[in-house]
Amino acid sequence: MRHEAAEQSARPAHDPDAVRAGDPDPAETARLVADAADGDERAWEILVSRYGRRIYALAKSRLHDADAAEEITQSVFVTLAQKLRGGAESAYTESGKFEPWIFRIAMNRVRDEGRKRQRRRGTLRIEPGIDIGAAPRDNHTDHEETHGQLDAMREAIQTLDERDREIIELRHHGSLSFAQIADLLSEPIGTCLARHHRAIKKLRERIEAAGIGAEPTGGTHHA
Amino acid sequence: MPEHVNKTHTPDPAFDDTVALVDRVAEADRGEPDTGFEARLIASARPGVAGKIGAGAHGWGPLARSWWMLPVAAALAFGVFWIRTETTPAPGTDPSLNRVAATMTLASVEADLDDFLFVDELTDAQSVFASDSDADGSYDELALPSETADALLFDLLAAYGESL
Repeated sequence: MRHEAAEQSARPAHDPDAVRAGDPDPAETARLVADAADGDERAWEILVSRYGRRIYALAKSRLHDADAAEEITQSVFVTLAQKLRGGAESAYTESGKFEPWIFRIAMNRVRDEGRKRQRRRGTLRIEPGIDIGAAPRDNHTDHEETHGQLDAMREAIQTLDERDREIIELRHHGSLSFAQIADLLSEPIGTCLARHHRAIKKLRERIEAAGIGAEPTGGTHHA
Repeated sequence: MPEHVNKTHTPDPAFDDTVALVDRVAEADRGEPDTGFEARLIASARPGVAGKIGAGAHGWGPLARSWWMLPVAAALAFGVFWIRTETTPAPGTDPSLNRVAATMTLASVEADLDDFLFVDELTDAQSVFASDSDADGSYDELALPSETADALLFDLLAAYGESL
């Protein structure tokens, strides 16, 4: 767990594959899950460290509520623990697709919570075209400017439609590969690629319309 | 030979910049929980130990917290049923009216129980994605008017490369 964290922290902060590159192959994950099911606490800790924050980030992006995001993450791991204990009809059976499976549980939880909130408070919908980001200020630190960019991008993500948000959050917050996303959503991988591509372009348009642009990365293409 | 086969992919810095910014947002969100986050998750559930949601949890069912809620829920259900029975006007002698009254009372009790127990969660087996059924995910729907599906796929695979 600490080794993985150290490896990830050594990578550039903007490296989009920092987390994805650290994910082991499905066989290693299956071995880890089996060990955790057998009561190996070390294996369980590795699973928590590997997926906990990714699930948290996905839930937080959806709900804008840190407490709810943590509760949902706990709920997912409680469910995982129950299924690994086995003995029930819905016990987890290894099929080499652990990550799509656990993130499907997380998305279900997030959607359930979102529906409950809508029932309690009415529909909260951020319409496209709202004023994203604050007006530029003359005197601001680099930290404040970066923070403003991140907040503007968060708001822009909220303006995407449901499908585009899903693909962005699964890809970036959940750090899933496109193959895993395609498996999770039961869609062709090309569709996922195209939807992600379109969503990124929409985000670009919206933050540029708000007068906030991303820092240049030297022109290297995303790979 | 189709035109797109000879096409050289042109890097798109604006696309890369946006992807990098989204990644920074996601990284910031992943880094938001404190250092005790993993410890709390580990403490809340282990495969060998029945798990429970941590203190302050809400919305996931009071029954998940403690077994002693079951008799409380049963007592509440009985009390609601008794109150509704006592306050409901006596039905007429018509047996059909009696059945309607009983159905309405039962339905209202069930609704009260549902509100109390929050039992309307979706099961994991149910697919909850794509609540609208308009898109079938074909390439052609997402292609630009001037691009064929093959050309779009070529561009996307060239853009995303090995990151699939």
